[in-house]
Amino acid sequence: MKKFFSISLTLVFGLSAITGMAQRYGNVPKVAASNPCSDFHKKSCLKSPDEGFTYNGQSKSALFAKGQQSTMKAVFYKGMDYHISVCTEDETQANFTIKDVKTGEVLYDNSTDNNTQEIQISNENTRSVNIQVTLPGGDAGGEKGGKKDMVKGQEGMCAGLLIEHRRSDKTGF
Amino acid sequence: MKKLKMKKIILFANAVALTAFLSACGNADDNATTANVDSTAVDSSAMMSPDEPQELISIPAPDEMFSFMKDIGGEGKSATYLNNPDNYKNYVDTKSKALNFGIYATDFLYCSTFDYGAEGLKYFVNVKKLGDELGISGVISESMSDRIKKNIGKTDSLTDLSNTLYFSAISELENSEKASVLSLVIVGGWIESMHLVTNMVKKFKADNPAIDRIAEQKYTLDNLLVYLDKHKSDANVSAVIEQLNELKSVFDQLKEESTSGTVSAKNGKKVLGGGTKISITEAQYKAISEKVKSIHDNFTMGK
Repeated sequence: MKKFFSISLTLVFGLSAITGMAQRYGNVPKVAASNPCSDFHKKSCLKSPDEGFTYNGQSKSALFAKGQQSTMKAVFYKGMDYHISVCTEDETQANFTIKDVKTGEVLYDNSTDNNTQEIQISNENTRSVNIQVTLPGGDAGGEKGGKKDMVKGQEGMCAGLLIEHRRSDKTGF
Repeated sequence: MKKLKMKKIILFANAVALTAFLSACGNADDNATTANVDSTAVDSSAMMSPDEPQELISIPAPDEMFSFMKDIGGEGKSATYLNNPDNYKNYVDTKSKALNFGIYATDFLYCSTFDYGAEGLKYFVNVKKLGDELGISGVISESMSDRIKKNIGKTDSLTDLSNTLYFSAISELENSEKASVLSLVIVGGWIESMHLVTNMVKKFKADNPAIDRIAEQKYTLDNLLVYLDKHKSDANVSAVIEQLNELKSVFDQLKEESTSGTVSAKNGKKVLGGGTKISITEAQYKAISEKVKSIHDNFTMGK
């Protein structure tokens, strides 16, 4: 049993770690993660075509129900450019907004920007923000990419928020 | 068929690992799902409902702070303030192992970023040992160890590898549902980055961008405390919350001035203007540095 336990642990941790590393900026299928959406953003969200951006550790993936809203707290520093992209498993276009936590102002809403799924931003001051992602729908069923059995009978899919950063160039603000 | 069998083995192994961990810690609260959960509480999916919004909390990783410091010149860099590798032997309980896993991983990243590659190997070795003891040894494969050893002296490659190591560890802990361990690793990493950076900036100058960046850690600390609060049922986490609240009370004295937000477009990007400007005095900077040192020394069991 001890041997099996040790093999099991090695299998679980080894596989997911190797996958995690391989998935970092790669297109390797995900296996053996207890979070079905782990690292989804790394393999599915659009990366900035511009030079100099690196992966930001505030990126996240989560399992969403259609119509579900998720808010992610993050900190964006002044003097940095951030490339933010949202992606979903079935390529549903998500709505996302960026709200300043301190002032409560909605600074950006992609529904007023052709529902674009990626933007590049800079901040004049460091901000604590809430990035709110909402998946449309809630009435669809059995579509591709669904995880019906995994979420107590509800239709769900992975959604990811990939953040990349680089130092703003000197001609910025 | 073979794939299905493998999947079953993995699922079973997952269950075994989870059960073992919960038994060892004697704390099932970490797995309790709530309506509002963060991304590390993996079971959030089980409670998923369109009527129940999720709240995810992200903490900037230490690399963002170090790359910023390097970009502005890297003045004051020193290996003097890294946690002594020999302290490893003092870390015998889960709390100190997890905190110092984060601390040594951050030290390794610091060494990689600021060209102390050879020195960094000692920290890498300790990260590996603590990772083994915390049950996340899979984060560091043989091939990764080899790549790290081969890239000593190549700053960019080593920085990339140390970042991969840090993010893999975070990802591994998220997947293995060790929420309290993950919390402590993140706290250790953040406190170490603060400790190292405040020691890079010994002399206060109000217009030093590094001082600004340290003051702005107020927001990161606020988010960190919200995140930790979700795992406060764990005694180790609640003890750390108490210590960080002392630091928060110092940060809360910083002056903040808010102006209305504006949005403009420049070179294809949105420039978000306005917001809140934080200012810090020399006395406040000193108080923050001292409190960080005190928490750091408590975590590392150093002098």
